[in-house]
Amino acid sequence: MKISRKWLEDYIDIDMSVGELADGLSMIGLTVDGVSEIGSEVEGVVVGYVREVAMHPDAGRLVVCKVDVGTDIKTIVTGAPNIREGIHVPTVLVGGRLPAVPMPGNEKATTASWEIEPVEFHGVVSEGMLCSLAEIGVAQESMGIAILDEIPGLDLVPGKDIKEVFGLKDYVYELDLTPNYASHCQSYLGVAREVSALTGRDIKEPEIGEYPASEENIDDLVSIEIKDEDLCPRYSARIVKGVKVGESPLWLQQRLEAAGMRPINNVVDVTNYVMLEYGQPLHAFDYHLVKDGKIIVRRAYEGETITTLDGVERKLGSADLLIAGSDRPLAIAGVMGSLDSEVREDTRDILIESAHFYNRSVLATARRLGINSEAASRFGRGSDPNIVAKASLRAADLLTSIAGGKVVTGIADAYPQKALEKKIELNGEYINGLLGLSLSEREMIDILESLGFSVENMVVIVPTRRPDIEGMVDLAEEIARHYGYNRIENRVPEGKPADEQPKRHLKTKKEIRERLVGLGLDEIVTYSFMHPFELKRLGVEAGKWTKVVKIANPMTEDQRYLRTTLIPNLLHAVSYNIRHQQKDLAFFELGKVYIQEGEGLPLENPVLGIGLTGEFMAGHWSKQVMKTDFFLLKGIVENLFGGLHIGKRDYQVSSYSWYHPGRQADIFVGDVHIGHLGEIRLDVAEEYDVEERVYVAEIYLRQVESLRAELFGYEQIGRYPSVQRDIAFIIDASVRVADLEKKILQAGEPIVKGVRLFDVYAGKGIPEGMHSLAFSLIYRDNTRTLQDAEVEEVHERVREILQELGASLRS
Amino acid sequence: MEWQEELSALKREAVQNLKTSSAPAELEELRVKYLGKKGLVTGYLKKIKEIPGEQRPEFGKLVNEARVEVENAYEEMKLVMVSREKELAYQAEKIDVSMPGLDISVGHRHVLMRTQEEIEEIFAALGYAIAEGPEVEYEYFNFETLNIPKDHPARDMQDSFYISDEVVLRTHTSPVQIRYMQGHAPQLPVKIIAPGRVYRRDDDVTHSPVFHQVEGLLVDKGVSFADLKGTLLHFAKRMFGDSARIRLRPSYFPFTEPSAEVDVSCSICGGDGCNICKGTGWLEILGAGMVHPKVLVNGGYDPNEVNGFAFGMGIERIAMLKYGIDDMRLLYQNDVRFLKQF
Ligand SMILES: [Zn+2]
Repeated sequence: MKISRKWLEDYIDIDMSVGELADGLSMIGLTVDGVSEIGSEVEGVVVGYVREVAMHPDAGRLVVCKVDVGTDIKTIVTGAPNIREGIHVPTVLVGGRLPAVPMPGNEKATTASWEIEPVEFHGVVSEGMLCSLAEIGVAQESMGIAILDEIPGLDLVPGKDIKEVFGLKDYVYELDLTPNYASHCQSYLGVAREVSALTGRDIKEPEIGEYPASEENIDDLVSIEIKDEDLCPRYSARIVKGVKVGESPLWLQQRLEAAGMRPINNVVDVTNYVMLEYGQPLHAFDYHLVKDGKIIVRRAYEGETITTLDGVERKLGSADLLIAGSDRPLAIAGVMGSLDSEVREDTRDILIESAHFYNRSVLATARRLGINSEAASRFGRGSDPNIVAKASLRAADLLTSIAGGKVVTGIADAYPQKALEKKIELNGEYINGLLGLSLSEREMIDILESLGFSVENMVVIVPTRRPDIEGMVDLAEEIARHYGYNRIENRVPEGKPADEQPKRHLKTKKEIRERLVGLGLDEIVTYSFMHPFELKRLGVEAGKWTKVVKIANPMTEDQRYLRTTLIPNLLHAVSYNIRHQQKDLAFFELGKVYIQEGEGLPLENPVLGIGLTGEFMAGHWSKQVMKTDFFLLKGIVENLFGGLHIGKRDYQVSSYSWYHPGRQADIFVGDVHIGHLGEIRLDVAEEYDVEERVYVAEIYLRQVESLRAELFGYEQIGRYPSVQRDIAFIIDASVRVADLEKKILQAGEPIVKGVRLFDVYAGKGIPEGMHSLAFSLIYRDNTRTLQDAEVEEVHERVREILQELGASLRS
Repeated sequence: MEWQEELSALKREAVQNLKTSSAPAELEELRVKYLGKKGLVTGYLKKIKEIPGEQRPEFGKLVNEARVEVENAYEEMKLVMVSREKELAYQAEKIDVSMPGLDISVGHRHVLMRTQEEIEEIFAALGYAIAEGPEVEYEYFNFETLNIPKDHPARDMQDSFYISDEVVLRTHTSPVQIRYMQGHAPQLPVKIIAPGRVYRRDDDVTHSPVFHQVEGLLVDKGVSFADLKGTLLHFAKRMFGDSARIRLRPSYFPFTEPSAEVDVSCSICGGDGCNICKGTGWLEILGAGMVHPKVLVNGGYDPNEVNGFAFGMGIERIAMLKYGIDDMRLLYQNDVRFLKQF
């Protein structure tokens, strides 16, 4: 809501500076988003009196004027067709400024604001410029220069600042109202009431004067039938006869514009003006377009249509409320009128609707139809049913003073059940306890009374304009915000800590993060979304997509699904960086995947994703670089699992569609599947514009958590010396190293304590399909020193076992 | 007394030569020359035949003394040589210390996670437990139980992602309040923070459809707005430094009453006004308030017995303010040149 300071001052005297008022409003909850100065772009424009007009000697279309600007007589050249001697015209002097104005034919664009310089027209220097109303920002459009003498009520003295003449100087406060304040602060009187509570000054309500009344009786002209009282508790109409529809006076146009509304004609402008004043939306119908003066307030029929003021045909349903004549719909209640019942130039008799509608119904209809009208915004936040009659009387009074005509006596007012004021008991102790204050009851009552509440015997009577006040806590907020939130003490509460063990999986997550960062990986954070194509890109068969969680109203196609895997986002991050010349990447993300299993909420599974590409820990001149590969990734993953103390991992050949068929594995601990890793297929990587080899792992953290022991013991350090023996052999490459290690350990029991692969060779000298492996074996006994002979015996056993497996020994 | 002078001269010469030798090889030559089996000093004893008998004992003694003296000179010089040689070897291994150190690239926590951990630590020290809840949430928990019924105007404020008619992507971490209270009533205190992802249909320089919040909730006997203020001031000081101040402005959330927007003094300008704080000296960091009685009831607590406060902050916002990040999109782009700065 935009509030003009000058207009606000009609209702309350303000002795605060521009900034003080802004701060003051913000600190009571009427957030001021900004303050703009009106008229600041108009500089050096004065009233000029045209003394002489002469033809330009060398340019037929131009005239040369002598203009009295108070201090001086200036020579000004103009081509305006309506120039003549003896008129007063806004005159901008050299060095003055004019505001930016809308460009013709393009509503959004404006010219730049500009500074006036002397200009030569065919040998005659013009020492300024005569202006139109549009050029000085007083009117939206205007023809020719402004002849000020034709505008009534202006004080015209040559040399007088035009801003003073038009009262242009003003400040507009942009209020960002939260829904609770929007109900009673979407009006000048509402804001004035808050300022009154802030400053202690009284508000001045508009005076309704002696208006010309017609002899007719309203009841002979209008009848109202409310069919749906639940949606329309009150409907009233007044009639003003014999108005002359036309343009509003300048002051009214200026005020509406300051409030951000477009002047339409004097009738509509008056209803808008009063709406801004009281917060009560009004609607003006051409009385003769309401058949027999009969108004019916009813729910729309299913599929009923109405063409609204904006020319759009709207299809309604039984949830929408209509203002209807006996022959056709006249308006969507509280939202927008129909095109064919609006006030036209030749309208003479006006029916002013002032009503109260159930706010949520208005809101729902407006939202469904996508109509964002000022009326709907006010009804939608909750208006005051008891201001209805006063507001329409004010409008009728104002209308006759501006557009002529007579007010028909009385009001047709259907108000079957008068809205009662809510009563709330004021419990001072509770409020003090809630706020941490020790106010007296008197202090509380003073604050409430300053806001227009009345208090009798500790019962607060809530005015009907405050639908937001429902209970004692709402009163507490009123008291707190006007006492001042920032005057309340800051106290750190004493009290027990939460009696709860820290959650173990959160600790695990933190440990993983620390370990991976320590290993040189950078953490990424990506959206939880996934493009429907992602699974296809990864080569997942369409039949396996059914567990995907789909968003009904995504903003973009790539946010249509919730992700079921972290891999696509990892690949996007890799791709993004490679496109930005960053080729050496080691990423991890700790995130969730979302899987719909049956009914109810989906599973949200915490997953660790790792992605590697390029060189690892690259970037030093002295070292040979380490290319990322499968075993680097496996090393990282193994380091992580080692640190988490879960059981021994087994890597089994897997067949995921997105991995290189020969370079991927499922990871198991016992029979618990804890994740997978592998090299991304080049054709999958290409889908992400990546040509490099990328290595990816996904680890299921819930499964990992289930394997973590509460406590783990340590293994004793051997006190007796160990013996190292190496063994090298050629064997079929299809025999898994993990199986060989297992056999070696079994064969060497109980004195082989460790076995480590230290060399792999295939190629020259080794038969096709075979490779040479070399292992180090560690022999030790924790109770005594081993004898050479027994080591030799066991080592021989190991050799025999290996030979049985088809190994030909090399050493 | 010719031999005495001769011996003395020989000794002086030997010592002199040894002490001025410049290389191990020369030193060795000199050792052979003077102290070898046929060396000038060692060999001098052979002259005893030419020495008169009564002088012989003295001759033997002096020659021996001379030998010892020359030997000492040799040993001393040898030590010098060795240490000189070590120095030379070190010199040969000299490096250019201005060359860059090894790039031991440890990784980096994401700035959002780093900020989240920081917030968690501040509240953990105050005795808050960490609670969690689902991101895909029933409307019932996301709205209804938080005093936001179906046609409530406040649903305007939050444009939500829908999965089905009654399931949404949670628009705030507040549903965790209800879930936790329902799981714990009537135990006191309820003292939790709930960090996590939330979702709104917004996407620009300052909004992201996915973002992170931390919710805080304290329910106990006698909790007041003053306690809320004190807690938030404590948080602001830990997060932004001891000079941080806070300011509360009345605001509206359906699930708290009274409600407040909380500003922290601008750490860039110290409150004098700058670009970042748009000249106000204040930066909005979170929303807070006293838990609405209806929400307490929905959580299983009696509002006549207990009070509570709640607050919610955007981790993105806190991180952006703390590190001066001006574009929300940087947080989700995962550009390593950005990631490696934290
Ligand atoms: Zn600042």
